Amino acid sequence: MVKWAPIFLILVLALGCENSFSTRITSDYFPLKKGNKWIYNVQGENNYQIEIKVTGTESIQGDSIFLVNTGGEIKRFQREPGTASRMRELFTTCDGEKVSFGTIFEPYLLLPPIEGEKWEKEFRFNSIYHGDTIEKKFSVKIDSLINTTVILNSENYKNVYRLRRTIIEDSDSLIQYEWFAPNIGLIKKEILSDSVFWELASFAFDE
Amino acid sequence: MSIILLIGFNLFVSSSVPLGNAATDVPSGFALMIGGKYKVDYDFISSYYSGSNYDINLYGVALGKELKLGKRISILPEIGLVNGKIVREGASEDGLSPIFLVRVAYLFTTERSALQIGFSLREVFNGQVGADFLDFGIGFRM
Repeated sequence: MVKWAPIFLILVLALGCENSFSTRITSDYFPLKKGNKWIYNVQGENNYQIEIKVTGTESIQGDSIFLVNTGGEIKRFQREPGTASRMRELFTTCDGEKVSFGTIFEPYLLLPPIEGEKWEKEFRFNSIYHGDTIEKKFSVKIDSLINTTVILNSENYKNVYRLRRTIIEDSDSLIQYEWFAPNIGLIKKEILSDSVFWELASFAFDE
Repeated sequence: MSIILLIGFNLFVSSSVPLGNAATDVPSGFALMIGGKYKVDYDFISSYYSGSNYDINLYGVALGKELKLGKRISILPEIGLVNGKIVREGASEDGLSPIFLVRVAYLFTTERSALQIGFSLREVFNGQVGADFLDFGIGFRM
């Protein structure tokens, strides 16, 4: 019996641990699967609910792209090992005409997230419109990434990552804070400049 | 007393770890088992995993008990703790994680200096998604 004592001790220790580390490195913080659905309560000038749903996938140049319906707007996301990117068409409007600069893969998340990391990516394009050179600038920056616990609607979410996302498109900038929970995804978002706050109301995943 | 030194090569085999990413196979680790008749199995774990844009280091210890299946096959379930560290471009996080490991060994003979081959399945479990390693090894019973 004595020789089993160390095993029992380790068993108790192992089962008693919160296992935060393994939860963080093995969980999916951006689960994209057809049928997955999230509903958020949005508070701002108007209060309303918005539904985000993965409606399907499409193949673009051999890559599988997830189609995510965000309140009626279809956004395209690509998942690769360690990265989630958003497909975004860059364009500007000149004299009422749309001038496209092509499609970029905007780095959206590095997975799994790591506390303290920060990164940024900048895109610059030029296009000729009626003899004039038009420049397009787009950048995304992620910083202020911390691991935290969030309580929403009496629900306690542990091992949540909060980040600050700064998007600059030409002279416009958008700064928002986002919270991602393990195996759930986005649970909270704050756009401080517009005083808009998103909070997860419910979610349903396609099994 | 018998000692087995098992040099292993770790393979990530789970499609869910981490996050369904492809795994890089790196040689790592050793297992040292001491016990007159494999009464107790000790496993010192040192693993390195290079992901798509991050690295994970794991080191720890596990203890277990040998269960004999006939004369040549041993099953060694173990439980233990590893300290893990994930690193990406200067940022890092670390923490303890429990592991469950099952080593299966086949002895070509039961004599001294017998050649032994085996494999083990190691799981860093958290109740939701497991991190699995498959470890192949070869060693000698001395």
